[in-house]
Amino acid sequence: MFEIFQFDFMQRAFGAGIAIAIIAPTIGIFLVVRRFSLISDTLAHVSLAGVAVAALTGTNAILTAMITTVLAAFGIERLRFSRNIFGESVLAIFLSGSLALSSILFGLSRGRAVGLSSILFGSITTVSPGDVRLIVTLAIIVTVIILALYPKLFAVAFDEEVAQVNGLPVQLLNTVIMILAAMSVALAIRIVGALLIGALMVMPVVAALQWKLSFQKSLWLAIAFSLLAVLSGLFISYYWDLASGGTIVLVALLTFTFSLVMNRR
Amino acid sequence: MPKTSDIIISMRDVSMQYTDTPVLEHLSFRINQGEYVGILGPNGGGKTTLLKLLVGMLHPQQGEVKIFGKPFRDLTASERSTIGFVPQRISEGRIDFPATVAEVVLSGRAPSLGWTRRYRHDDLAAAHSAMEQAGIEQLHDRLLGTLSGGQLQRVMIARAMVNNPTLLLLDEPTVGVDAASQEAFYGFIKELNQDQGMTIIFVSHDIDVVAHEAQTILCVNRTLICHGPSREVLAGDVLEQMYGKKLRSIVHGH
Repeated sequence: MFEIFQFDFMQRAFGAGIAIAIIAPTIGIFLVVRRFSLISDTLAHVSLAGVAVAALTGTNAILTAMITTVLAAFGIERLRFSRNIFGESVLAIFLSGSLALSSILFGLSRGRAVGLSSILFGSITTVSPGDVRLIVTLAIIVTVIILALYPKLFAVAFDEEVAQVNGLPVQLLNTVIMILAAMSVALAIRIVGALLIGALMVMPVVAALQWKLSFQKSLWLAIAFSLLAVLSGLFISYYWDLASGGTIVLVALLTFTFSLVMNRR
Repeated sequence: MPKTSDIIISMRDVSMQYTDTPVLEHLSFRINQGEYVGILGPNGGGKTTLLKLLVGMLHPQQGEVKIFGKPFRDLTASERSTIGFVPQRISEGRIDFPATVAEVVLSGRAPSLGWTRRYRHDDLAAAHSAMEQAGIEQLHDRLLGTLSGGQLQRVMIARAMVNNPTLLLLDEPTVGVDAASQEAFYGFIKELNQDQGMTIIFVSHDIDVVAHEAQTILCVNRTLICHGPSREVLAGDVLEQMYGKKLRSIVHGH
């Protein structure tokens, strides 16, 4: 049963997977409660453009993905506040714009082998030792920032107006959440895939919220669901040879369905 | 003429406009420590803009607003935390926000935490005493989504009170609150004013409520139409001019 851990690549996949399973819903809950769920999806599409740049130039895909998602996060924040554009349309523009850019870049990089489907949907065999170090280190940084800022992030998520009146730097805190979301998206590409990371940030959170708990308990439960999805998803995808991202997200979907059914009124 | 130290808010010749039409023009007034002020005016008369100026969400385009004797941007963090603000009718997003009463009340302490500190015992104690004062301690672990309008309003007050404010500003505090809870609510506000000397400023479009509750009335309809003790204001005919209707029943009823 546990010969799975004899393989170095599986150990790496589990290491990276656990790190992502913890940070995705931790940031996701702040996006979900503010009705920004689609930001994670938009950033996921933006990360594709970063991966395409890596394919062209031969650099580390996680790093280039992170640079593009963080830049896009800044762009989205600026457009949402400084111009008179509806939040949703800003997201739509970034989402399709970056998809268009990636399609061209991937076209140019033809010949330099990139497994496009492993980028889109995740592949546990592609996690290099360097990737694991990078993912785990940055995941720890993200977790520490969230822990330190938790009271302030909560206050701003609940009520921006009053937070501002009482002297919280609302715009800065919003930008911090966006940057952390952008970082998590890039970190998750290897395991969950660029197109499915949004689901891991949103689904465990929405599943946990069905249980009508306090904000803090909801966050713990969301992390538990997320860990369950990633760990069982990795096992299943290994034994049945399935795409890891798809398997993980389907398990997350199951936790959501289960939560929904159990909490029917 | 009150002493300078008693003045908690002063506005001098403040004007604001978003488009070509001015929202507020040449407003000047002072509010003293311990006053209970009702800001009255028709919808669209600039009440909310005025309140946003008072809590520093807007800065005056012309003129000067001072709180505790300083412009808003010069207030220290601890001075800002003693301004309790209860925004207009809890918006949809806040009603079903997945958090308990205790979590929301405690969040009022977040601004004074510094950059890395988490909540400590004194924060929890402050939240507990604010909930007790607002009469909602038995609701502490209830989710916001399960509360009535009156209970929600008390949660918002408790959050504002968690830093022991010297000044409490409320925007249309009882919209969407049933009549019985409304009366209990104003009774509670009056206690804060009389027993603790808290300065209360609330905005309402409801003449009835302002006439019954506030000691001082400030009428705003683009310009400052009246400002004075409520009896004097109600005895005159300014309100009739502003609203275009008779108000004798209110004045006589009290």
